[in-house]
Amino acid sequence: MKPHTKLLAAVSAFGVGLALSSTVTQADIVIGGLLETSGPVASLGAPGLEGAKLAVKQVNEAGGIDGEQVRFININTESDNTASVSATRKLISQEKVVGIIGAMNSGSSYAIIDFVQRAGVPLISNGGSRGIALPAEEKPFIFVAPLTDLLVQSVILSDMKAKGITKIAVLNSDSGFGTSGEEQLEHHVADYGIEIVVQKTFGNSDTDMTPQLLDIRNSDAEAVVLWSTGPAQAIATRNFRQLDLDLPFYLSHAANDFNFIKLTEGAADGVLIPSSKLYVKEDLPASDPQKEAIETFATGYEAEYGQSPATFAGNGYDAAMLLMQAIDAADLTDPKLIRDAIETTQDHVGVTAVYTYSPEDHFGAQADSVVLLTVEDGKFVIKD
Amino acid sequence: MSDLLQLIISGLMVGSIYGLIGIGFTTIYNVTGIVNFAQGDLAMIGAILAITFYGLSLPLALAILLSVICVGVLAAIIERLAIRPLGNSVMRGIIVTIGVGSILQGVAISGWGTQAYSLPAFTSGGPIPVLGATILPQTFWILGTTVVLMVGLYLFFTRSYLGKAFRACAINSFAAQIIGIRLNNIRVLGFVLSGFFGAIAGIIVAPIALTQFDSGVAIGIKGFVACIIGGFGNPIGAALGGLILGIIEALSSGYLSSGFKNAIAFVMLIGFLVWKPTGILGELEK
Repeated sequence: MKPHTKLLAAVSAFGVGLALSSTVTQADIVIGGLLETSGPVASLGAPGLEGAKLAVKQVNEAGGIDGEQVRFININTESDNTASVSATRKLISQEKVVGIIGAMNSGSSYAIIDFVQRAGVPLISNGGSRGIALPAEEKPFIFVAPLTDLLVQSVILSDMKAKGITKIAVLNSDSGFGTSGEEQLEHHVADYGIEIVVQKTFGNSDTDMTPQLLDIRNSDAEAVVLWSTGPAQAIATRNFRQLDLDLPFYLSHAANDFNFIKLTEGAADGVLIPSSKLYVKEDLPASDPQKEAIETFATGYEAEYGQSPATFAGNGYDAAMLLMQAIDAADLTDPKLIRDAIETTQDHVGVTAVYTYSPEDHFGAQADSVVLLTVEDGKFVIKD
Repeated sequence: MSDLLQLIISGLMVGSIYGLIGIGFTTIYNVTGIVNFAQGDLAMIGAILAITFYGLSLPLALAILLSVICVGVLAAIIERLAIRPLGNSVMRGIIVTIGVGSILQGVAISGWGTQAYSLPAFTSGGPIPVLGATILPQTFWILGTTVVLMVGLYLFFTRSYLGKAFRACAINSFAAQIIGIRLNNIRVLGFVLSGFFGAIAGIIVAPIALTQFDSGVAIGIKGFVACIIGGFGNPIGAALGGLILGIIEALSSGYLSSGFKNAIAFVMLIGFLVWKPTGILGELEK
């Protein structure tokens, strides 16, 4: 290649680059995503990303925000903390996003808090851990959208109180989800006049929880709470039925999953699960404030991806919608003003919940959005 | 009383799985000196393949048979491609098996995703009450399969020509080669047997314990501990070690705290390594 052809190539490459970047700047509102599509949390992140993309598509088809189209850039964070930090760096410094939809993995959200705070860009995390946004006054830019432990436990404990249950047994896995859920529960049972009479832990990869359940059977507990995820949760549910324990059996919102019902092979019938209303949308009365939002989401999702949406798809959709309605309310694409708009969100009707944020409450989801489900013949139904 | 029985049954069931995994360790260790840390992952692959074949509406028995054969072949391929080129380097062989384990998990994730799968129980029917304890029919399948395999392996090693050649290589591979036993063939046999035992362990426990890409890690480690307790390289010792470990785990989570369960297993591991490295039964008769 002669020198001047080299120059020519360089110039045309520059020209192409310029052309590309100019098409990019045509979409004026850029939001970022950190949803993981590989690694251990991929089974949550992948539907979450589908939900978020659907939200952006629906907003753009309805004319965008103040006439401007929204561009959504997701970087796969691989269920990994280090990958999350570099993805966040890239979104903020290169892509100049005005807001970020966080990862499903709580650890990935914890890892980027300092960076996001310093950069002054609002983050709506999809992690289920409350600590991500606590204390709210020290983390003004961090918000959480999915249902949290505390919220769903308040629904469980209220139900127990209504039934006159005062003594309960708690069985949890030794994973982060299991132990933090158990600690949370221990802090709040007294508020409902309930006492934990026996607490048992099992390993997340254990294959038989009969020994732990035997101790529970021998106690005077009037109900059992199981806080776990994955196969262990299904195995414990099977063992519970196998030992013929005739007690109300409460599970965490992690059991709100069709695969869980399938894996228990019938043992899940009759369990009690706190949940969003997504899986029982047909049973909702017309007066329910969320009915319309859930149907818009579910119909759109089925048309786009050819299957019914999972909880996590709803989480991604909610996080994206919350961010975009805040951008709309802020009128300007200044991240700080968008942050203020998220914090003053009132009664935003989402798929997972109705959201009201405040300077003290960065979780938003309202307790009356959570319903108690049970399983009948392998299907979720509302417990009345 | 009924609680004690329930705990012992739980321990025997889990212990049988540890024992079968442990036997898989010994068949490779005896002819190569290598500790195959992909053993648990072979069990996971066995279970996932059986579930997949069953999902293709093959009869359950055929799905299981096909899966066991596939894992045996897979183990032979691992020997040929990853272990044999290393020659006699035991340390490198052990490290390679850790890599092989990661690869198998990666294959499982890309082929089957990260969710868990279940295999139907071999015979239908609810739990059977026995003296106040309840036993799942699958538990009988697990115990029965374990006993049959142990007896079969014992007869194979003591009565068959191939089994005797296998033991000859384990006792002194150099002398065995001099009298005309092809060491490479025996090494492949060791891997195939290990694949069989791993796959069967993974499959028989799948109806109870469910299977996902990382299910092999925990049972692999416990199988290793079972070998250390019983005597590394001794198949009967591995089976015995597995049962002891399973029962101690069940009793400690029933009567002490379940948090102690893994700690007790690993304290036993250290105890045996320090004070009785040959295990209860010692190595295979040499």
